[in-house]
Amino acid sequence: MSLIQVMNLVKTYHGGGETVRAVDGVSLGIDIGEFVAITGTSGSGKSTLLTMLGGLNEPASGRISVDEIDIYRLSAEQRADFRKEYIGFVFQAFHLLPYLNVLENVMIPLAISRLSAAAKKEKAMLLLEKVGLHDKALRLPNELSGGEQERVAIARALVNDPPIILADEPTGNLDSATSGMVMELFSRLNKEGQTVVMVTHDEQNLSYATRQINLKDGRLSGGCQAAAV
Amino acid sequence: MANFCTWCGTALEKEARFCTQCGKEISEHGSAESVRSAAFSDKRQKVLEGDKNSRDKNIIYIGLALFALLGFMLFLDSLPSMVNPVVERQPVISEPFDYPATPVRMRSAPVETRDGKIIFKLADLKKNKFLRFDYSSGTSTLPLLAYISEEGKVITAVSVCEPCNSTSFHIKGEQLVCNSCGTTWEVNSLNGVSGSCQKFPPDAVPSVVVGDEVHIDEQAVASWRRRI
Repeated sequence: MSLIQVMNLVKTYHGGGETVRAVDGVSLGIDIGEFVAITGTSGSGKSTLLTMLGGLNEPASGRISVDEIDIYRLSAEQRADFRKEYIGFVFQAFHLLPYLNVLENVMIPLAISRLSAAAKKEKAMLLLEKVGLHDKALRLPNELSGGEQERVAIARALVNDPPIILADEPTGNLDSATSGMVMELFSRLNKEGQTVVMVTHDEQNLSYATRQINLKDGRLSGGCQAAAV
Repeated sequence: MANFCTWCGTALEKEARFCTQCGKEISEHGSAESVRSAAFSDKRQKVLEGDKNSRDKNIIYIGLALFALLGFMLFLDSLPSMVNPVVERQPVISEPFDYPATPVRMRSAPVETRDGKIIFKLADLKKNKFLRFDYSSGTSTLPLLAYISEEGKVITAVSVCEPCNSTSFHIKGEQLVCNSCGTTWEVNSLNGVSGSCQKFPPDAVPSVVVGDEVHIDEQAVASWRRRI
């Protein structure tokens, strides 16, 4: 069984007397060490799928198991633990706290950890070094470029050692040169064994992925080709 | 085996070994055991069983708190039950009984001093329950009291409420009460119950029953000094 196993997943939204099936019967598996790009036009359900994979969005029916844990049969508290242990999120808008410096932003997910303050700091610094920003640890986010801010967000996503990184349009706010740097970083993390699932509609990003899954109207559409690596 | 291709999601026959869509061999994804790394089983345990470490710690903290609370309660409990060593050794002269809720007042009783003993009649005590008499040495007079506790013991003491200087008391229910300041003590133990002079009940002096008399050692009374 794969690390992430999705079975017959359905998500419906209700509005204006209409029911929209945003995700309409998706089944797929993602193995450890894959770099999967989920593509599709806007409204195809890719972001909905990603939030469901992350345990943030309960499906109408179907099942998602991660590491053989059926995540929507967990209690809310267990699912919070699941997110903490298994998932690192990276968003298009970086969601850094503007009044905390870079180091403190990376340390936020460690706030409830039992590590000592020194150990938290050390861990955050190591990750900042990994994303090439250790020399900017004490800057505020608004003193950084968009690409740098996204790399801080990636370091923050990695700080709890999650087996899975979920990224939703991580380069959507970046120019193509900066996008390339961020994608290089994802690719490097992936080569080090990190499983990455990324929603994107940037053609340029597909070459970094080891597999592309295409969604159309909430269904998988012929997306089983492995991208050229 | 999953009934769809774990590579592309195409629905498959249950026993299919290859995906009819992309041709991937289904079995090559292996079993869960070969996929899962040790790091994940640690995480998996944290999710499914909660953070056991912190839960254990909480249990320890709660246990310690309960233990401390218990200790504190025992400590509190031990305070009023501190045994007055003099009262403890006093002789029993009657069956246990209850004092009435209406006040029992002190009665004056004759007393004599003979052979270094202060002596009063047991019959007087049994009749009146609560006696008051004065011991006079050459230079001074010291008021004394005697009563029968609810346990049936003879209690003899210096009849002074030292903080307020009153020399008269009454017994009401199971309590000895100072007539002046109203401080109350347990009749049986002389432990404080309420009021401002609780720490200084009438100072008990030892006595013994000899025949139909009660003897108090004159020396114990003559050498008595105020505690405050």
